[in-house]
Amino acid sequence: MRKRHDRSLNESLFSALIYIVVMLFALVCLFPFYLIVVNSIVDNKVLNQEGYQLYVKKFSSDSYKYLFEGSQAYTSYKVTLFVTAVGSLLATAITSMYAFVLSHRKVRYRHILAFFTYVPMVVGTGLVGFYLLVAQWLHLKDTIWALIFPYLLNPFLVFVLVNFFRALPYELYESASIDGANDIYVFFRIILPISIPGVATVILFYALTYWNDWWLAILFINHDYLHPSR
Amino acid sequence: MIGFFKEIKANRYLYTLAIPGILFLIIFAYVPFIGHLLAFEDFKLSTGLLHSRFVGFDNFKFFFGGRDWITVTKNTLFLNALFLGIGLSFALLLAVFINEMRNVPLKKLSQSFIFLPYFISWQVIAIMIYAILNSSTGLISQVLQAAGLKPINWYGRPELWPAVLTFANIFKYAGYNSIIFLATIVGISEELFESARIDGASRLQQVLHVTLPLLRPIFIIMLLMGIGRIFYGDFGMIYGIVADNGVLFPTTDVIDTYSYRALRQVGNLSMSSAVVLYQSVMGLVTIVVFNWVVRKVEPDVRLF
Repeated sequence: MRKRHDRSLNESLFSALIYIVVMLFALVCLFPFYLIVVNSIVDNKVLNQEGYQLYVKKFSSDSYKYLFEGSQAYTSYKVTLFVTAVGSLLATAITSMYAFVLSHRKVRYRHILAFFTYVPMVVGTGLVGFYLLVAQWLHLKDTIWALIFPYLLNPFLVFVLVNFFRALPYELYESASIDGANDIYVFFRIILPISIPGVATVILFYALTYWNDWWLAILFINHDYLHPSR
Repeated sequence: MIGFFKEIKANRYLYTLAIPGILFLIIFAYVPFIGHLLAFEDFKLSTGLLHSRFVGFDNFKFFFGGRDWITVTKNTLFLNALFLGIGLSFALLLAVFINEMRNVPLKKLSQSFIFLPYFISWQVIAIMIYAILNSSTGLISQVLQAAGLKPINWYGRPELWPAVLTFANIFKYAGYNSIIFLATIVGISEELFESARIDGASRLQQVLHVTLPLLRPIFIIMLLMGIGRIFYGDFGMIYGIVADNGVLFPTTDVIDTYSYRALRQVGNLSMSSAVVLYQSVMGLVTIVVFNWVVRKVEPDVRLF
């Protein structure tokens, strides 16, 4: 009886600890957003004189007026939306197909492929080679593909997915293969549907990459109508 | 060679799936390596990459000439080791804890909140840090003064900054990293927890004996990936937070900020290429060694 009592006490202590740690961290994470909202509605003069504010002294909606007047905001968001949607779907497709091959025990060269994938993460290429490639050799300057192609495969996310696929039971492949299905069919019909948690994470990360990008736009886009929102 | 074709033929469907990925890597990741030629050239825009004058190792001299490169290399390694060790462990803890929350609305809410700092630029974080730490109006100083203690002069004491930067790193990236751990936890089959419960495991025991062991592979992978980039300092972070405050350089100056400052006036692309090449080669050597070690200890989770 005594033991049982201890146990439930331990469980609730464990729960309490979890809630305290997570919620505290969540609150800390929320703070800067409060700061940004406050400062986006503070009068610009106050901001210039006193720097960032902790609370609203003098209200002004000028910054939002600036943002929504003028057609640039709308065109820009259209470009960003297109790039994010097309980019993250394409990227996730390429990445998950590639990661599946890297994770498959049948593939004898998977370790060589993994090394080949990993090297670009470590070896920086420098800006010049990259710029020459996109602008002069592929002629993508001032096209929307210059904003999409360079992020189509992120080695980091490849390895996240490889690890995810490796954790799936190998019998899944075997039973499907015995039934005569080829590997492409197995991947799209069996592996992908049961890997939703992993694949969804990858889609999310790619969407973030595309949505937040301003770097490629600065490098490769000169026309206003193609400029994304950042 | 015959073995090669046999392998390709046997797994032709699988290799077909990999083709788009391989093509992408060759074009966008390997072709630009040609840019490393810069490091050995006296690069002029007019003559271009392929026809500039070859100068051997001259571009490396500015970096390896003095003794500073030892300090900045040491700082880069030390700070990255802190970020990796403490940052990843905290992200792991956070993911496990969030997974254990039974109150679903609270769980979802915290899950979204911890992801938010990832979107905050280092400049904004630098302002927050200043608001908390500065010795006259800072939050900590005010608390210390109210308690009758002497305020700490954070901006004059470099030895405190590895800790400050580690906190900042956790703040910005812990949520982001924990998403990856959470995705792996969600992928764990419910049956494992169930059988553990039937055997009488408490929730803490389930965490220790089911969740954590199954997170080991992804933790090691994330660690290995971080180790490969251990020679790259987080330029945005250090430059955003420390900026040109020379007092703090002894512990916070990293390779990237050092070479940036050294090159700001000169504007020489060849010299910055030389530094990137140094970081790349060192990173590659490190990761090959660590991957080899992991392969010996735990053959199943090696990176390549």
